[in-house]
Amino acid sequence: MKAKPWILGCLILSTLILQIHTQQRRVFHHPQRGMRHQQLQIANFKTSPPEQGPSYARSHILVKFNSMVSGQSIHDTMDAYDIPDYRYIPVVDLYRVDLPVGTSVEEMIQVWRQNAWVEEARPDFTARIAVTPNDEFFDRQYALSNSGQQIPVPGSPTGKASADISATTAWEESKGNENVIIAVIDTGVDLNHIDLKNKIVSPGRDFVNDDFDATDDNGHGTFVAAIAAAETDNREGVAGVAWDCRILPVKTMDEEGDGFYSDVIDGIIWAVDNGAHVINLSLGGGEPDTALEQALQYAVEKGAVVVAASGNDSGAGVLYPAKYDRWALAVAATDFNDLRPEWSNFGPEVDVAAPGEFIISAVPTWFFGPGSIPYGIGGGTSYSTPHVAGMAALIISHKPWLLGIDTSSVPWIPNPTLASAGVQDIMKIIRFTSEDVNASDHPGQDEFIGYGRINMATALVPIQIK
Amino acid sequence: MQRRKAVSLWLFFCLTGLVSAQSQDSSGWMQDLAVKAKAGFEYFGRTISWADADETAQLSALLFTFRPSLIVSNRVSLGAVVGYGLSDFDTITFRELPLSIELETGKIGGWLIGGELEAALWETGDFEIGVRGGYVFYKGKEDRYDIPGLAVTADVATVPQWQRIRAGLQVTYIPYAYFYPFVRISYDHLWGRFEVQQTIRDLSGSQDVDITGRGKIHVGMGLSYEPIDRFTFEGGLHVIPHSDKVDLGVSVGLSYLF
Repeated sequence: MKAKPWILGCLILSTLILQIHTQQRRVFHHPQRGMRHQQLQIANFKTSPPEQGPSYARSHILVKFNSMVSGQSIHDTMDAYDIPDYRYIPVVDLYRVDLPVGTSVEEMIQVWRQNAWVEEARPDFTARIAVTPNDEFFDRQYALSNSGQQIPVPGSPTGKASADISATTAWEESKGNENVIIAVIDTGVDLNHIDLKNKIVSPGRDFVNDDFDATDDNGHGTFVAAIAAAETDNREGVAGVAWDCRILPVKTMDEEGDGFYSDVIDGIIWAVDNGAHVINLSLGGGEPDTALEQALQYAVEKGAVVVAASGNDSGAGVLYPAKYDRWALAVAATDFNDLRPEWSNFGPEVDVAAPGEFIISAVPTWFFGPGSIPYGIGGGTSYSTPHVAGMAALIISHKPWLLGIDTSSVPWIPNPTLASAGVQDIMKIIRFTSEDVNASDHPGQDEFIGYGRINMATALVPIQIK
Repeated sequence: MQRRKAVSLWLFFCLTGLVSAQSQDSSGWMQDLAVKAKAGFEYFGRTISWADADETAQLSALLFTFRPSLIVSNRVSLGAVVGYGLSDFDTITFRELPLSIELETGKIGGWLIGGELEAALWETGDFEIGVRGGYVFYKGKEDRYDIPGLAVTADVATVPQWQRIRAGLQVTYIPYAYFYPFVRISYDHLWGRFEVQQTIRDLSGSQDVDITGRGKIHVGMGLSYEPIDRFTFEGGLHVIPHSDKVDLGVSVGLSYLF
């Protein structure tokens, strides 16, 4: 009997991942963890062991000038310091400054901080994704509809009926609207994937390679995008949460799943300025960053709902940007039994949870090799997050008046005076309609799953009151 | 526009009635006055629609009324309506709240106030032809309902109201001594508003739903019975046909002429 392509693909993938993690074993917190945990780990957005401190770029730093300094003065200063190249990040008023040859990050930060015109100089911290995709189809998407079916992974566990986000019930009320756009800020998206190509607004923006083609060279972004808004009801692959909504790909993470805060900041701003109503951030870092927070604030004030992953480090502490509670929904994970996997980060900033264990979604067509089906199974809060992003997109589609959108004109633009309050209302709707699935141990809002596992039907379908 | 037409029609009939009374007894109709008091109840069902007539429900109302009236020259009656009503709006869906709700209202108590005018215009053989008009305003009490199934406590507060105006003709068969069967045909317009205020912790929203009664033509028949002097018993049935169905109503009342 010939081995099924997906089984072979899993074996190949497992081998590859083991090799990658082996190479990087020196940079993980806990190198003694089993392979499965390594595969699921979001890698804490660090590429160095904890004793070496946070990870950051070695080729450039971030500099913020005093607001009174003129552009010409800034340019002259760059020349004086022999800066080979620099880039301005708008809204947050930050410069990404390349290091002169032969200098280190620490040296240049010291130099810049001594300049009276400089308000702040700091490293550009790194962010990272690390999840394992696999392949399956809608009847195996327990996250959307859990009938207690078998989960197609070794051991064939069965799920708990109704441990899902009630998507099928919600879809009866709303399947979304093509004018609502979800920005997937990630490793990019396979623009030609059969389950995504008709849902993509444009080739997007690539801040890693500085072009306008956000093609995925890692796989993570494609997986995330399909969860949020894969083409649905097309007899192919998987169903997306936001059935009719569309995807705007923004590449800020490289083929290894690494990226810089500055690119993420740029990506958020660019996505908002190009019509995104929802920002999906299935990524995170361990360090705070005021510019990152400013970018989130910018998004909210423009009427975009920000959804971010809490992290997969099995410990206390929500990662950034999810930790910026005021501006983002922090998403933890649940499994097919509505239980929180031990690897899902927790903390007071966790808002809600969504299924993130053994999730079926799309991968790039090249991922498992020629002739393979482009779908896989993976886990992580990276994959919980797009469930919530899709839900936010459905709410906006169904109740555009929350953002003051005039639906008679296209594109749909939030009303500036209502946008920020509207985003906060949508965040509250998502929180308050969640199911407290761990009430027996932690009744009410808690640091593990926040208000609970999201429930799209409660948020969208008229609640019966007698 | 509908309401203006209804009110205009009602005023027209009031004027017609008053003019008719004066023409019948030009020598001193103001001196021929009497007072009548009537207690009664009315039940009606009315199909209501809202949201650009895409959705409908069945309004059921039970009205307990007291109607004092002034009778002029035994031909014109001008009266007030006060009372208490129980209105059941069936199920109304509100989708312009932060969380959409489908509300089964149940019976909501409230107060009634209004006025009415009747006038006999002329007699032709065995029939008396007259005009009738009436206006009723109902305001329900505020009710609160908990919203179930949320991660936080939440409720909705509702305040319903409706108004009805009728104006039309009545033909009474008068040869009998104590029994006076009649038929009526009237313009009948019902409209109202259902106000909802939703509170979910620090998230709130409100929606007002304007409702309109289907059908505008009221066709009724009934009987007045005067068993003894000064007392009159009246009962009647009515129908309001429209494209979906026929709405029904019934009313009974007992009056005493002072």
